Amino acid sequence: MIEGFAALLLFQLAGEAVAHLAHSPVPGPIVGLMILLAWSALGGRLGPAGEGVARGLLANLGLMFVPVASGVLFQLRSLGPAAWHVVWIVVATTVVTLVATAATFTLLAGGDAEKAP
Amino acid sequence: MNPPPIFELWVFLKAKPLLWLVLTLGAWVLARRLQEATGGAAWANPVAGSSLMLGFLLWLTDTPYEEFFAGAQFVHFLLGPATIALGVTVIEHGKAVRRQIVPVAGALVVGVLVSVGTTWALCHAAGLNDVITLSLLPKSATAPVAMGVSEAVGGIASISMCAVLLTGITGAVIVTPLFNLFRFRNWSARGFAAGLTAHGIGTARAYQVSNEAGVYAALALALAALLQGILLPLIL
Repeated sequence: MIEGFAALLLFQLAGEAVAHLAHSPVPGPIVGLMILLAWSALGGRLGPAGEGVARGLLANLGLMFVPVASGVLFQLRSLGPAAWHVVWIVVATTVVTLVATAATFTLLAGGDAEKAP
Repeated sequence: MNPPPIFELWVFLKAKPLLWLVLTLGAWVLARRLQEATGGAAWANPVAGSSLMLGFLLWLTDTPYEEFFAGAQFVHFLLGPATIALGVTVIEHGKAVRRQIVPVAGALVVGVLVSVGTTWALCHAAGLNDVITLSLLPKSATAPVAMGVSEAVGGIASISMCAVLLTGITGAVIVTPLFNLFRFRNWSARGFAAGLTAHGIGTARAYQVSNEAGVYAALALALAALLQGILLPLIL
């Protein structure tokens, strides 16, 4: 488990280093993700330990947002009257973006070829 | 007169990161159980549930957010390795993804443009100031990207964070009923839209619903983060 965790952190560290050196606006972990994809395209592997830890983390992905999400109500209160605008704009644009994205994908994929389970 | 022992114990533990770490994990486990009890209902989203519990507890005990975060930061740290972990599922399904390269690229560009464009338009229509508008634009990007972009273009990172989380929770809660209403049956399309719009929280929801949806959500999350991380600082 530790070996797998270290492997994931190593890619993150590499990503942080590259992002810093390149003055990249793209954050380190995303650059690390790209490095992992490039590594795999070149035939590299993360190994079963790393894959196991990755699956464990993804199964609890939501948990990692909880620390910051717990502060949302405090932050909204500090926005004052603008908070209501922020809330309705977020809800409206989320609905529109979801539908536009799924519709584009379905259209370009040639319809509902794959049925939901 | 000495304070009652239970009060003294609370003051002692409250100052320790361990208490807030345990409460964060505990709230998450409880919220997951509650969702299971509803048969996996989308409205019982565990991110929303556990955050509401913890937010209420902080308010009730008059605990500063910083004190809570001293314990919760250990969970927060896992966002980094979890981002790398998304690559593992993308690699596993590399062949299937390459077959769908046209819908993936098209939906990526349309989705990001619609997200940023409609947010910009509605912020102007509502008369919000530039700082709030710039903070809201990257709200569909995953948390670390949105915060980085926001600061790069002149927004405020904590407002962006707030918009990002509201977007994620809204997306995760409405995605299933919304797509059923529109009769979208392509599972890759549903997952891709969830990951692009509602980043990690939408991806977590997609994995709950179907593994295929989860893979495409993870792919969309990574690609959308990359596109917005490069595009927004350049055009603003």
